[in-house]
Amino acid sequence: MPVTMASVTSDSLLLSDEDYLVLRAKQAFTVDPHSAKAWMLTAKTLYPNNFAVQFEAYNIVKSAKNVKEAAKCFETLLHQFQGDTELWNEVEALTKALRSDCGDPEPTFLRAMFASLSTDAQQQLLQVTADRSKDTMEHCRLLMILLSRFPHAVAKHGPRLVDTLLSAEKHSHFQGANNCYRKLLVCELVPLMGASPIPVELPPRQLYRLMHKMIEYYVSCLMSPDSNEPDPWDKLFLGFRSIGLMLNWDMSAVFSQPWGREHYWQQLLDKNEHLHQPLDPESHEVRQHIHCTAIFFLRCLQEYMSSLQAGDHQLILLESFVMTMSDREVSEPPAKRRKGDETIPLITVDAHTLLNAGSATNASSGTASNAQNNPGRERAVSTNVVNNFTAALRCWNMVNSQEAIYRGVSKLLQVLGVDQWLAAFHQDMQLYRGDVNEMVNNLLQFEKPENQGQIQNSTTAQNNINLVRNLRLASAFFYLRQLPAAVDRALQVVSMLSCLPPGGSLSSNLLKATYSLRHIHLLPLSRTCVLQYCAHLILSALQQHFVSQPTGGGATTTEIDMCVGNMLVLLQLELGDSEQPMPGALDLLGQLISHIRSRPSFSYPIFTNYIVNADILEEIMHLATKQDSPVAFEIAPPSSTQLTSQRRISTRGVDKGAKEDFKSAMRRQMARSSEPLEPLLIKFLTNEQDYVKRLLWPQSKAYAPRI
Amino acid sequence: MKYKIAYFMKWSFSQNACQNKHRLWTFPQRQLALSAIMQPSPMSDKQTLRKSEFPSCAREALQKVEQLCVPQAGGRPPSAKEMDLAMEIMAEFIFCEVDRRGNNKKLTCIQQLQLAQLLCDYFAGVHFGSGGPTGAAAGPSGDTARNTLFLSLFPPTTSKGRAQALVQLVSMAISTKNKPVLDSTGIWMQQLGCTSKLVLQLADGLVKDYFVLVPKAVTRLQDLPALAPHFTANLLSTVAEMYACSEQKDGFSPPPAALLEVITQWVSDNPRLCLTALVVNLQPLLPLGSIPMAALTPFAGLFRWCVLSPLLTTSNSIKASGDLSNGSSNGISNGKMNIKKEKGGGDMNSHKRDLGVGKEPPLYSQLHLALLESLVENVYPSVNRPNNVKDVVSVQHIAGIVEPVHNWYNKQLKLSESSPPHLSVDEHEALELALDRLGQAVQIALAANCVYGNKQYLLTQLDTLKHLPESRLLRIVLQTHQAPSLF
Repeated sequence: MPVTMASVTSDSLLLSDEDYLVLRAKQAFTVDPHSAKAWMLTAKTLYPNNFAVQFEAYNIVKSAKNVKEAAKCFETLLHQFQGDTELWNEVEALTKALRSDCGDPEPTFLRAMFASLSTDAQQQLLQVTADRSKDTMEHCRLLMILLSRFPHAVAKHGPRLVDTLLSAEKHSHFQGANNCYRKLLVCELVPLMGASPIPVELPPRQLYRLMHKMIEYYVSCLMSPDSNEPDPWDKLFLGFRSIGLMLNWDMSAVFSQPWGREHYWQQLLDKNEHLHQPLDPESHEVRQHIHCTAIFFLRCLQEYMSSLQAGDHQLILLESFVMTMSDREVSEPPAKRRKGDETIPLITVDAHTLLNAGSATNASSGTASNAQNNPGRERAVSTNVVNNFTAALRCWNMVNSQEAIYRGVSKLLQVLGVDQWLAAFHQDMQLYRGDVNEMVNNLLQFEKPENQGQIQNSTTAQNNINLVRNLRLASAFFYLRQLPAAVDRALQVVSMLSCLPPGGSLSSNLLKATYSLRHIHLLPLSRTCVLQYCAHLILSALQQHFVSQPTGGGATTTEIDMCVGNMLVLLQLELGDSEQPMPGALDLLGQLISHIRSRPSFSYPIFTNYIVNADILEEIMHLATKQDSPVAFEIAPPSSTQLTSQRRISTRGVDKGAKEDFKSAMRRQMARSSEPLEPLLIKFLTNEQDYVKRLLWPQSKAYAPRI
Repeated sequence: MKYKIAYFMKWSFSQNACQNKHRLWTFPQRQLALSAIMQPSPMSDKQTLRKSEFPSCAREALQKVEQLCVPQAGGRPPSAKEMDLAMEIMAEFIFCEVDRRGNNKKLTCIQQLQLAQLLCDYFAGVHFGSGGPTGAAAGPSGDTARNTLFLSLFPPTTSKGRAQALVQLVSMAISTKNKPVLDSTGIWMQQLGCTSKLVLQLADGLVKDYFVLVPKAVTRLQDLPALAPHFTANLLSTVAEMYACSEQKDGFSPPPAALLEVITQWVSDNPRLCLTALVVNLQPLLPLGSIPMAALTPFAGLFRWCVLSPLLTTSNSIKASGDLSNGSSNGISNGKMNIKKEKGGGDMNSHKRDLGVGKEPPLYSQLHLALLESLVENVYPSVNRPNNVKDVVSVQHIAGIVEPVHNWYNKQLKLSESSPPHLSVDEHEALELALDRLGQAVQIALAANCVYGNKQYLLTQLDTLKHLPESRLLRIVLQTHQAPSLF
């Protein structure tokens, strides 16, 4: 009878052979690791197909923190026992560790072990895990880890992952392009496919789809203010180039160059000129050109749009004012302008509104002084926004020059969801080109669904939109010489001014002397600026009306007086505090005064309500008191006390008391000369709308002031 | 000498060559006749050489011997007479064993060192086989020429004195990292057989030089497997056998600790080292017509160390605790081998005391594991390795471990003072460890398909251990590998 071994416990006799060997290994582990390994090695060769034995071998080396050995064992396990749950738990722990930066010993060990696995095993591991993953996002993330670690696998798994991500996004019904699947697809997979050492094979249809999804994603990043995607354009161009290469585009090389608008433009232009005619919209060449042009246009457009928003106040492109021929010679040195530029409108900006820095101090001082402070910078900023606009225009012109290209680009832009930008750009472009009828039609179309009554209930945002539309319409009607309509819209704008941010300063650029026939202006959307624009527009409308009156016929004297009076009121804003009058303001004042002088009398019943400017008052005083043929003024509405006698403050007649009344009235006005003009003007344009309107509507002849 | 094969008889297959004890290679009769015509004048050569003193005469003699022994490119192989002349020149001018009249003489110690230095330089510096105008195409390559000369200098009949010179040469080559000499030595060892007396003598000399006399051998010998793998592998095999000789009572005598350490490190760090001799193809490196000898791997020998070590440690500890004065005289430690008879007993003992009485050195456990891993490595070679080799270890060689275990057990029972006789707790543990290691070694060798011969024989031998306290692992291994009985 054999003697029992001393160290073998009675328990171990009950164990199976496999468990016995594992037990021996475990027992030996703390005492003699070599012996433990020898036991494990023996067990492994005895039971190569026994999971418990192999897994225990793994656990032993794992608890010994032996990365290399553990990797070896794990690889065997992975190779042989893929279906086992216990192994699967370990695999999940491993993939979890791979995705985290957790510094705990266990994940750290697992990551190190993963790094020690053979590349085949690593790839197999991730692949299997991804395949088993039920959650699509999880699956995609795991595959992404796989692909980022094994660039050579991109060609194999990339296309399938594209499909998965696209359909996952589709079935998740996300709002907008900025969602997790799209982000993974665009920000991670596309660059990986671009960098793949083996060319990734995708059908062109899919590639175009991928490209559209990518552009759409980055555009949405550009559009949303809270997007934290850095350098979206760089990434967009990089992705564009990658996909372009997959599509065999020769133009994709262009997009690998650092961004330079002129540089890109030249190459695009060159390509455009060398397109094979007639254009086949489905051809490789034309599709390529459409995409390259569209993306270039998008960038120009985005730059223009963002430069409109860059300042303290958003800018809006409006028809502005040109000095009459005789005035032209005064300012604007002719050398600056080339001949034949008359058809191209002059574009001006109030540059200081584009400067964010030091706006508190700059806003209080006038435009001119501001311009003196840093003229160079302002010019650069203002040229920037104008250049952005003309670059976008130029590109759009190229797109428009060929029907197939135009259709392709429009369709593409529609897909990409840039309607908002495009609509705004179209309006600006129509104005610039003088396609104003079209613009008006568009604007009126937008107006229709809204009902006037609803405006009051709507939000400030909606108010803002309405205000901008009215402003655009005012400027458009003015361009079309539909003065009553223009003035009507301007008056509506003034009534809505409260929804605009206060601030801004008077612009010296609204009226420009230029060899061009037209002048358009980028106006900041602030209360002061918009008020100035409206006032100037109405003033110009009245002036044109005034000028258009044939001498000695048509308008009545009362009408003309009314017109002149209104102009005097409006002119006050631009005359300012007389130190820095806006260009042309003094000239106009001179014209109006000389007109009054040429008349025997001047009647403007609301004079005392609205005219407080010292210069005007002085001129009037002078006219009323001059020795030879003084003008008889009727400048005040009948006061309540005088109502019965119908006496008015005037210099008419020889009434001594009346003269005194006039003088004291003028003194009172003078005392008000420091009164803020903006509220006064708003009051005038709100309360005395009829005074202004009726002048321009010839059919209505009731000029009596409202009492 | 159970494992010795008639190495020399196999070396050369020509009858003609066998008749001449100095001739190591064969050549056709026709060429023999031709060489007779062109026979050089032996006397003139010798006289020329006699004009110079040692060591310069030795250098000139080496060149002469090379001319005589190594067939030049496209030239004829040496004739019998040329070989005789070469032998005479070696004896008189290189090793200075005889004077011109044939009387024995001996080099002084310094001269011996000079000779070793000279041989080292000669083997390392001379480009062999490049003499012929037609290039090396037809003639032997450089390595072959060098090996030819080496084998000529140290034929199987080498005298004791010349064997001593060989030890000095190889010892110097190891310390100066002289790869050419070590490579040739490795081939020489394999051709003579790792268990041949000469090779054992060499190994013994090297062990003395490097492990008994010199401290810190480990660091100095660390790179040897990388420098000269074939030599190292054959040295391993020889040393393994040297300490695990079946002819002695216990079947194993523990090697010096430093040697154990070096070997453990070599095997642990170089999983393919033990297989090197099997992998290297000697044929192109040997003199024309020679047959490469079968390689012997160190596995069986080293496994024997690992299995028997715990038994000896335990029995020794009993002796040590029982009767310290008799500890060294019981024949375990200094019995070793015939050649090891002189002294050494003291060294062994002091080494044992260092290890601590009764405790088996932990290095054996590591060495055992390294051996197992080397075997496994043979089955699953890592990247870009040659295919696995078979015939790594013979059935008999492994089965040879069984007998000493029996002997030990029987002896312990005899010595047991209790009735009925049984083993002490320590002895039980030692036996269990030994049997576990044996079981592991057999299992992995079988699983790795490394064993050749009649496997049934091995299993039958293992089966005899049934009479010992049961080892569960052995039972499992037997169950796994025994062919299902027909009855």
